[in-house]
Amino acid sequence: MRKNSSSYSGWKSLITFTVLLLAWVSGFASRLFAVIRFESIIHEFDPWFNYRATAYMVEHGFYNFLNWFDERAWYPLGRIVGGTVYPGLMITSGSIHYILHMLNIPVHIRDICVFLAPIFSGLTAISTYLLTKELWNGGAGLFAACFIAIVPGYISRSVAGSYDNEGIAIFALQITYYLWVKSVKTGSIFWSCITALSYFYMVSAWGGYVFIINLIPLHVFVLLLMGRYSCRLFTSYTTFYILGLLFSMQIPFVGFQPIRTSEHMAASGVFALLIAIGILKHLQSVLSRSEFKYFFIFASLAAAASVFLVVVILTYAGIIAPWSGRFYSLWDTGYAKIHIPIIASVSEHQPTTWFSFFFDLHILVTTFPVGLWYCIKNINDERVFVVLYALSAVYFAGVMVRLMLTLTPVVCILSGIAFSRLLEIFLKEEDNPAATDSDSDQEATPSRGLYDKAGKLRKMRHEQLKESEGLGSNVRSFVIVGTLAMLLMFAVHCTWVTSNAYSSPSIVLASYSQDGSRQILDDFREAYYWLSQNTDNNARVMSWWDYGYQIAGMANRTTLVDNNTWNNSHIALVGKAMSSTESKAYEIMKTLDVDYVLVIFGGVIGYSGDDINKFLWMVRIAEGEHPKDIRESDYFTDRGEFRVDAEGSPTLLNCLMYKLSYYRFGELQLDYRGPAGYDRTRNVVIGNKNFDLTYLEEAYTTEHWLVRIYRVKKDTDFNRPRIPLSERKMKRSSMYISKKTSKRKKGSIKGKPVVVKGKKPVKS
Amino acid sequence: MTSFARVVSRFYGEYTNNTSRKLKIIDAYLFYVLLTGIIQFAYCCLVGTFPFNSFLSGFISCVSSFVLAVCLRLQVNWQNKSQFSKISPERGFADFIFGHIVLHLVVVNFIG
Amino acid sequence: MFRLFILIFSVISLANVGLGQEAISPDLIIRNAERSIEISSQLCKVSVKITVENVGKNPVSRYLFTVEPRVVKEVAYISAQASDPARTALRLTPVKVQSRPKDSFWALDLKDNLLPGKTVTFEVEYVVTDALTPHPTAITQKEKQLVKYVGNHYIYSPYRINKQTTTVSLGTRNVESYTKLNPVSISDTTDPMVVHYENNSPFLRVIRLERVIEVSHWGNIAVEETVDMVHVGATLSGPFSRYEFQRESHSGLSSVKSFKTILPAAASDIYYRDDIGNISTSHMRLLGDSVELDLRPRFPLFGGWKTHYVLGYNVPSYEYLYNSGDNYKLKMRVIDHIFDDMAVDELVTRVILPEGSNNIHISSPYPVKRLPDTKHSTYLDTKGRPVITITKNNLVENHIQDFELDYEFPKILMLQEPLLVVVALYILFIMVIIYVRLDFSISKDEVSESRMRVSGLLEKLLLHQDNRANTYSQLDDQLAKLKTNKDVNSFSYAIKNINQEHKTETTQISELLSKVKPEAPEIAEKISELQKLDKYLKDVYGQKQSLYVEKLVPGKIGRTSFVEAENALNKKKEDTIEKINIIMKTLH
Repeated sequence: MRKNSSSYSGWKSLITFTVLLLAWVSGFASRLFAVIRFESIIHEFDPWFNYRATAYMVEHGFYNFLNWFDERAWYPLGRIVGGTVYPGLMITSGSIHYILHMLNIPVHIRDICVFLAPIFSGLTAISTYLLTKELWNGGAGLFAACFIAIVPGYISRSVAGSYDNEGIAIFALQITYYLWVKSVKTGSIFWSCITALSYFYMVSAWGGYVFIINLIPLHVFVLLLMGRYSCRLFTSYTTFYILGLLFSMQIPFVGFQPIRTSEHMAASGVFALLIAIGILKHLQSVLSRSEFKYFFIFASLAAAASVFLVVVILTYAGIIAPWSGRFYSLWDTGYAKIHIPIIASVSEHQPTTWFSFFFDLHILVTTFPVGLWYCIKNINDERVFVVLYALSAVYFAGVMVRLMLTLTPVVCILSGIAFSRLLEIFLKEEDNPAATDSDSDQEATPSRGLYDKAGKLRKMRHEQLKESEGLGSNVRSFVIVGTLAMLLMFAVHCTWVTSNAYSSPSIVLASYSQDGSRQILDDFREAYYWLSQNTDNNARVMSWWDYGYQIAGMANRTTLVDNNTWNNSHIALVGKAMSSTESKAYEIMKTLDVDYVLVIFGGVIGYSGDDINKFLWMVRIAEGEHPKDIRESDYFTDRGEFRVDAEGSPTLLNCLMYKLSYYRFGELQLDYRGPAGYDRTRNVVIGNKNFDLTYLEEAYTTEHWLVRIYRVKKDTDFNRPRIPLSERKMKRSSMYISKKTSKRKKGSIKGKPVVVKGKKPVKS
Repeated sequence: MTSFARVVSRFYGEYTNNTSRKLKIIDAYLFYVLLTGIIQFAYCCLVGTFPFNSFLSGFISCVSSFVLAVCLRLQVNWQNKSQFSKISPERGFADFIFGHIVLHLVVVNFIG
Repeated sequence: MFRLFILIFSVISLANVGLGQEAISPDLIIRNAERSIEISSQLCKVSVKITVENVGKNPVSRYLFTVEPRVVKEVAYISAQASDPARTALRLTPVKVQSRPKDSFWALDLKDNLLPGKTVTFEVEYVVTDALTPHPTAITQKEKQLVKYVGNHYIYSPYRINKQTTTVSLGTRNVESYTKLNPVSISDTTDPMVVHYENNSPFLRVIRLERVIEVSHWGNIAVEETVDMVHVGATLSGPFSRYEFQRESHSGLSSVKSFKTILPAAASDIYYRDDIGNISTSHMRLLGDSVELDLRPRFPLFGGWKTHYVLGYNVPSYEYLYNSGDNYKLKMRVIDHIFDDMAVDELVTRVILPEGSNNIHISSPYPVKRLPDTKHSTYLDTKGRPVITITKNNLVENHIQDFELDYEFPKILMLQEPLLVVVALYILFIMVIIYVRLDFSISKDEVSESRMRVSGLLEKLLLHQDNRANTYSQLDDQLAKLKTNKDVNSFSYAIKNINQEHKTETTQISELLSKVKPEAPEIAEKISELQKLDKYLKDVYGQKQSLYVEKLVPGKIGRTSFVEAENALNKKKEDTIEKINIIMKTLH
């Protein structure tokens, strides 16, 4: 019997270890679709910046990175990268790189960056296991770990190549919550310190740390309201808060925000409240007189009220900054649309649809309320936490697609609890028939009596009876088979979603031809590499901000605006240039020293995410800053439609973006039968076909026309225009051949008097 | 007023009689830290907060020391034994030291 | 193919006799020289077939060959061979002649000494890399690329030439202009010959080629070439129009869309990438004796456009690495094919040998500069691998030749890497074992330790209690047996053992009780209660036993009174068991 028990714990740890290892491996493997289909490459937009910053740090060292002033972004302003970035991601991969190179393992920093998120997903699984184990038990933890390893809501942000803050932040979030729960349970200073350290890591990694610093105080506050104050709560929260406050201010980007902005004030308020209650409780224990109790309740209330008042007054006086725009948009979903178009223009800041809840979480959506109910039913200190976590995350996920990410872990935890509970009820029965059998055996010989083995009598008899009464073996097996089928479907769904929806690098596109063969459209890299090789090292490239990071990362050229979007007016200026006419745009481009303009055009291959489809946001953002020059309504037809065909509004058909997108497209015939200039993305024949560019010239267009780069002509190009040799000859020959026809010909050639036109706008 | 004085004197008497020596040492430390914090705050109110991070690190280190000491006091106090079943006084003190090491490393970094 | 013939008959006398080590022999005259200049690609390949006669008295062993001082620097490669059927290669050594300090000469060792009055014929071939200049230097996308070749009408030679013929092959019909010359007899040997013609062949120049050969004794040689390439033809001026490039066939004739690279036949795991990832546009064809790669840069290369890429592959080492004992010889190419008619400005070849190689000697087919050796550390290296670096400027296809590298490598070092892995894993496991076994708690955690002890004791207790319970069930069995067969003797014999067992268990439990007492008094209390109950239970059993032995077997009791008595005892027993169970449950 003794042997059994020791080997039982051995088996348990072996199973735990194996399951976690498998969760890690499967989580890692299922994130590799993109690498296998394409290659080991950084995805999308923001990861390119992170990669660039990491490469800079690896090359120049950590301190230079912290002091890095990037002149290549936000020309002419530049960007202080060290102070405007969450460095946790770069430090993580940089230190991995450093350690590997210490061991003479020459892994390229790019590969580390590509595989960082999948590796951290394994750590997330383990921390989720730990957290769930603290909240419920090990079985539920294993379930939760397996769920989080493959759930699409998390995979969407952590596939190989998606080198973004969220990849490591979810791990930091989970481990911080685990440590917090642990420290609340034990009340140990040590665990609180570790919690604060892990919170520090989270702060260094992601702006979402605000979620932690509001959720933990909320937890404490709710516990206080529930009358669950304990000394453990006091020690854990006060230590965590004061150390976390200090640590979080070490991140240059965060700076003094933790004591200045409203987002962080709840935490300090709860800190003050907790101290007040601590004093009160202490005095209560020392002096047990009722009048003092009364007196001190009054005092604590007064203290709380005064703290609140101080905060309000400080906010009003401007010492504490009010909530930021992104934060407002969390409460009022319409806020961003009205006030900050730049936030609303990002697709991941849109409210979540029901579809995407199911798409990202599948059956977990339906099972997690069950887990929540179990937690509420068997409430204790730490389950209060998970309940609050679930409720707040559900709300935020509903507001912003992006915040599905914070919901996913808690959904996995609660679903893990639900499934584990379910199987606990239904699987445990499996060995009960045997037990009852042996019991009845013994009862058959009455003289033996019940007193057989003390060890077997651990379970209460009435409990057994109740369960075996309620469930027949058929029902049990049905439920188990059903559950397994559901889990199976879940796994299939996860793999399918990962493979189809979340594994595209988005800088390399793949299209399938009719015979099923795959064709790779590598136009983005073609264009960026062209820029990097064949333009001046200090050339300034103007493009919409979406492509800023990619240009900086892949082409290593100076950009005007990028995905950092910290300066709205600068973006609006670029938007204004894009939406004005060529001559007006030229003025803007000259003031900004633009050398090249880059636009994305999907009309040839039918790529929908191109600049024409984003164009309205440019107009809106430009209108926000320059309402006199740009009006959104000008770009619509009279019937309020946005169209690029012949019925489109003339303002649209003559703006720079239109011209750059469709330059010489009107001559291009995609099919033999179709008309020339047929835009496959918008399925129309474009409205303005024959136009020429005066101030810009085509510098490069990629194979599928996806990226078009234009060179902005210098003033000298107008004053002394260089006529190409071929044209010079043509003129000469036409003049020589016949003087009669030359007049007519001359007219048609000189139909675009380049020189004359070029001077006009300079004066205007 | 007299009742208040009476309460205070009773409180003082109870404190001197019923508190162990360890706790008294901690209380003395707490009092010292509290004084330091108050002095720092007063100084900043009078002179100004110019190197804000220096002020903050100094003040927060005071608050943290205070908080850590209070936590230690709570853990060491035998009255709270039931709540801290897993933490022996020695363990509590080791944690306290650990907290201080972490804290002061950061403070030194932050003070600039 | 249109060929432009320029026939020149000339008599040239250059009678300067030098005073230096190498002197121009006045005895030699060139009977006939046939020069062919091939400028259809970006290179200018010149081959001169020379018939020399010794008109002097003494046999001559050396012939001095030279080219125009302007061109000397651009001569990438020069070779000579005799005109016999075997085409024996002749040795060329660069020399200086003091009488003509401006010129550089190559001394050609004739196959046999040239006796007076005899003639000998040999061929000299050389490749000039920068002989062609685009003219105009900038063109638009539609225009053709025109280049100008500026050469010399006459062969530049220190000897008198009786007759010379020059053939210039252009590879195109479109010639803008060329200088015309009537056959003359002159002594001035520099008369510019200019050909202006269309040449749309790729004017690609490799600015810098870094070739890294990493030798592994585990059977693999990894080759990686980093190529910086520029189109040195007429630069593109004005816009690039994708529309015209795609739709009009005559657009961008001089641009380079793709080129072929030929790799060794055994090459595998080929990759073609640059700083931002794979270049997905390339095709591979396996030919019998080579692998042909059709490399397409990300974008077509127009005049002045640059690109940069990395091409790498693995080859099995048995084809290139030979050994006898600890001595190894590596035979590989200094430079490999990049594209046809290639021109490489700078080549750096690095050979990374396995860790521990020493005594390294390299011999190259042509002079190269050897840079200082360095160390390279990669997987599982401790002190780094030796790296041999050689460099050379201005290379062409003719330089694709093998170098030989000899080194020693003690075979025992092959074991180093696997051993390292084994040791590392071993240390890891040891660390884990130590971590698990050792107690790292900062202070002695009395509470949890005593709890651990108590739980251990409890475990034992449960075991003993189980055993004790077993004795009761045995007792029950025996009683039941007694009830049926009424055999007191066997019963008392059996019961002795059972009682003995019960006794030992009970003493064990009371020992445990004494151990538990200082650790957890409340649990000890429960155990002592358990003991009491057990005693009581034992008593009940004793009563039952006496009831059986003393009353039932001798038949001293009536049926009903026996049943009553037994039921009463049973009830007591059940109650006690229930109590014991409750206690046991709390102890769990």
